[in-house]
Amino acid sequence: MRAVALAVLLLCAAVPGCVRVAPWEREHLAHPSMRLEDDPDEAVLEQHFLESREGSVGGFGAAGGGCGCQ
Amino acid sequence: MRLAAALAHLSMLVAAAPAAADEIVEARARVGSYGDDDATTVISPRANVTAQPARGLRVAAGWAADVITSASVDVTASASKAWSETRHEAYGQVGLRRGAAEGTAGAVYSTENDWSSIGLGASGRLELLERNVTVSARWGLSLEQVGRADDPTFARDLAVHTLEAGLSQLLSPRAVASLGVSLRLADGFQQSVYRFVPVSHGYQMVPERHPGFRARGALTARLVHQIAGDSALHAIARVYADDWGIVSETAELRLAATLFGGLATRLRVRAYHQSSADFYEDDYAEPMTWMSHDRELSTIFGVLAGLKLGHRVERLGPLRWLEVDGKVDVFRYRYPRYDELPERLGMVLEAGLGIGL
Repeated sequence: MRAVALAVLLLCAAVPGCVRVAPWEREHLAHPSMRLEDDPDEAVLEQHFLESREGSVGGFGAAGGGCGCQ
Repeated sequence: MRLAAALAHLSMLVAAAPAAADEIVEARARVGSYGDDDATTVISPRANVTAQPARGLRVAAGWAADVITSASVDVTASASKAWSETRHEAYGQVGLRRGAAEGTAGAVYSTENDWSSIGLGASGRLELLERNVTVSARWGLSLEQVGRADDPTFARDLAVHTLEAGLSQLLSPRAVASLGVSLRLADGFQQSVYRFVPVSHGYQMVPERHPGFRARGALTARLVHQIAGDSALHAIARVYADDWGIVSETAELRLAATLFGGLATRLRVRAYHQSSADFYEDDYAEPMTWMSHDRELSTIFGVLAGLKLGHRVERLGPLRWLEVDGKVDVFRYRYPRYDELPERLGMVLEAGLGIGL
């Protein structure tokens, strides 16, 4: 478990330094089908129904965005 | 505990709102309908309005409800009759955006006949490296009071603290990935006041007893890749563990595409598994310190398949835009350690409407 956590941390630290997508290369990333976030009202209903049927919660994070298109 | 999702929703509301300076009001309404073969139905309407009184400043307010009717074996096994209740929730939020940084703060109040709660939340988000990277964090606290429908003198407290963090990263002109992690700490009364636990093959029924503290953590990874034209594949994996002994894994695949005429389509399949809580038993040989007959704490295998269709129209009469969508999810759960209900089939239907003025 510690090895996995360490690998994730290293990946998080390394990737931003290696990959850069220029603003003029983001045409496809701006497409609605690429959105990381669901519709907010749909997402809250989904989590609401799932939490009543399953014993696990969370993990969906708070990042969102990502395409840098706004 | 149910307020945690509402608190998360608050920050999403403002964050998801378009950043156009001249778009000052948007309104959204959605209704969800849940039904399963365990005689439970839930109708969940919700509506909210977001306004931008000044550039970079957004305020949102909303209302939500759950109308629940159930004759589930979960309650009938506890010698209770079928029941019906309504929960109301009101929420408000303020968000401020300055350049690549954004912060939000909000509050939620929820009430029903045997439960009330108030929640506070705050979140922050920062775009870095020419918006190649987004980092975020969210904090939430909900203070809940658990009651009992037939006993006005019964009241117990429950406090739920939530911390979440996220990171998203552009991987290529056609791919983006994100990681999300959450920690939720619940301290207080966590069992059902209505549920009883069978001991000695049901010879004795004793009230459910859960530990007063629960720490829950989850990690989710998501990869989105454009596969052709206007379509993208979303792969989502989540692992979860808590100190009650539940470990779960979730995998989901989504295909999102825009079809002829701008029809947004999403197909998805989801698989879920969880292990039982350490103290869960379907039938206890003798009374224990902690005892549960909550099937959501038993071993679960679940599958879900769903379809969503949506359409957005720009400039329709006095409206800047109008969005409509509908979705259907069909699910099946298996409970190998819950004899009263070995499996459950159900469906969720939703319809949404949004307008921009």
